[in-house]
Amino acid sequence: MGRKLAFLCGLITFMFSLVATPAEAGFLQQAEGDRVMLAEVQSYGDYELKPAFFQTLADKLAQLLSEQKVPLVYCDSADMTNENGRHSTGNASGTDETLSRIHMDAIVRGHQFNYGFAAAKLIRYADAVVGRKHFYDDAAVKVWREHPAQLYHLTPAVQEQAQQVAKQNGAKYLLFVNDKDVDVRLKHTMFATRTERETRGKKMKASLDYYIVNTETGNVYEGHCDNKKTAQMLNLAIVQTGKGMSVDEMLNQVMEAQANDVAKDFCQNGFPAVKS
Amino acid sequence: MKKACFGLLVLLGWLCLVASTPAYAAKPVVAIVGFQSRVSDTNVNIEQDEMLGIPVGVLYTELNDPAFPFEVKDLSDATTQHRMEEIRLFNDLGNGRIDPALQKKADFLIYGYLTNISSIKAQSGALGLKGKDKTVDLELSMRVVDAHTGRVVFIATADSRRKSELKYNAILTRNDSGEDDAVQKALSIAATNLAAKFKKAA
Repeated sequence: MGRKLAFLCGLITFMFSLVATPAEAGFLQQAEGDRVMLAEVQSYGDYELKPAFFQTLADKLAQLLSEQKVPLVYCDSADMTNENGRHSTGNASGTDETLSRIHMDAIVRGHQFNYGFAAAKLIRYADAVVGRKHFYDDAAVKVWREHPAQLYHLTPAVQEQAQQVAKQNGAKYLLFVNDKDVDVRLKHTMFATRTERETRGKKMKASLDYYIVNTETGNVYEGHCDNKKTAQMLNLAIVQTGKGMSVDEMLNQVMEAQANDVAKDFCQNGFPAVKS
Repeated sequence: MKKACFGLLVLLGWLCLVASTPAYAAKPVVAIVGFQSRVSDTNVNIEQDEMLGIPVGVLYTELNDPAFPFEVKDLSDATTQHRMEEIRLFNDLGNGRIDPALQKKADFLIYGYLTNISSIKAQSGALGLKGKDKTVDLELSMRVVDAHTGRVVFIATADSRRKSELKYNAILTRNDSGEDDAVQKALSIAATNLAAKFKKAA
C-alpha cells in the first residue's frame, strides 16, 4: 500500500511538474560553458561611424560566434553599441557607463593605445589612468604582434565592476570591439572610367581591436585586424575591366571581413588564452 | 476500492494537466514586429519603406508552419510607431516594463533590419567582345528579443545578390534590366534564409 501511494504521489508530482514547465525554445538552450557577453561594439578612435554600422557589425559578429558554438549572451538593454555609455559625460545609467569604462580601461592598459588616434573621452580616461608619460612604442607593438597571446590586467577597481556586470548578465567573459579607424581614399588614374561619384575608384582601410576580459581573473586578451578593399573600373586602351561600388557597400564588405577575422581569432587564440 | 481510488487520482492528475496548461506553455508566441532600414544612403533607386513589407510577408509565411514550435503573429502594422522608438522599447523591456502595444501578445519579438542595399557595377572585355552588369547586393538581419525580459536571445543575418542589369555584345547582343524585380527577389531570398536560420535554431 505504501509503495503504491508513493508511486501515485510521484506520478502526480511528475504531472504537475509538466504543467509548471513552459516549452523552452532551442535558442535559449545555450552552448555549454562559461558565457561570453557581447558588451560593446564601438569606436574609441578619433573617427566615428554612424551607430547603425556598429549595430550591423555586432549582428555579423554575433552570428559568426554563435555558429562557432560560443555561448553568447547579450546585455539586457539590447543596444550592443552602447551609444548612451560611449557618449555620456557621467550621466548615463550605471551599466552603460560601466561598460564604457571597462572598454576604455582595456584599451589604455593594452599594447596598442596611442594618444594620437584616440577619441576625446578615451584621452581623458587615459590621462587619469596611465598619464601623459605613456607613449606608443612601435618596437613593443611589433614584438607583441609576434606573440599576440600576451595577457594583461585591468585596473583592480575596474575588474570588480566588470565582475558585477558579468554576474548580472549571467556571463564570465566580456567581449569589446573597438572599430577605431575607417579610411576612404579616392583613386585617380588616367585609365579610370568616368562614372558617377558613387562608383569612382576608391580604396578603404579599416583597423579594429577587440578585447576579451576574463572577469574572474581580470586578464585581458587584445586582438587586432586590418582590412582593405579596393574598387575601380578601368579602361586600358581597348580593354575594360574592374568593379565599382558605393562607400556603403565597401564598408559592408570590410565589416564582413572584420567579423570573420575576429571570430576566427577569438576561437583559435583569444578565448583559449583568457580561459587558461 | 483501492483500484477505483488509484484510477480517480490518475484522472484528477490528467485533468489538472489539461485544464491548467496555458496556451503559450505548449507553443510560445513569436511576433514579427517589422523591418526597419539601417541604410542611410544607397545607389539603388527604390522606395525603401514600400519594400520593407516584403520580408515581413516572407518571414510570416515561412515560419507559419505546423512543424515550427511557435505560434506566429504579424504585429508590423500595429507597432510601426513603436519601431520608431525602438531603443526606448528595449530599455523598457529590460527594466521589466512591457509596451502596451505588445502586452500579452507574444513571448518573443522579431525585429528585422535592412542593413545593406547597393548596386555593384562590373565590366570586362575588349573591342567588340565586352560586357557590363549591375548586381543588387542586399543584406537583412534579425534580432529575436524575449518579450518578458527585453534580452536579445538570437541574432541572424542573411544576404542575397541578384543581377539587375546585364549588357553584353559578343556575336549576340543582350540588354536586360529590371532593378525592382532584382530587389524584390533578393529580399525574398534573404528573408527565406533568415527564416531557415531561425527555424534551425528553434
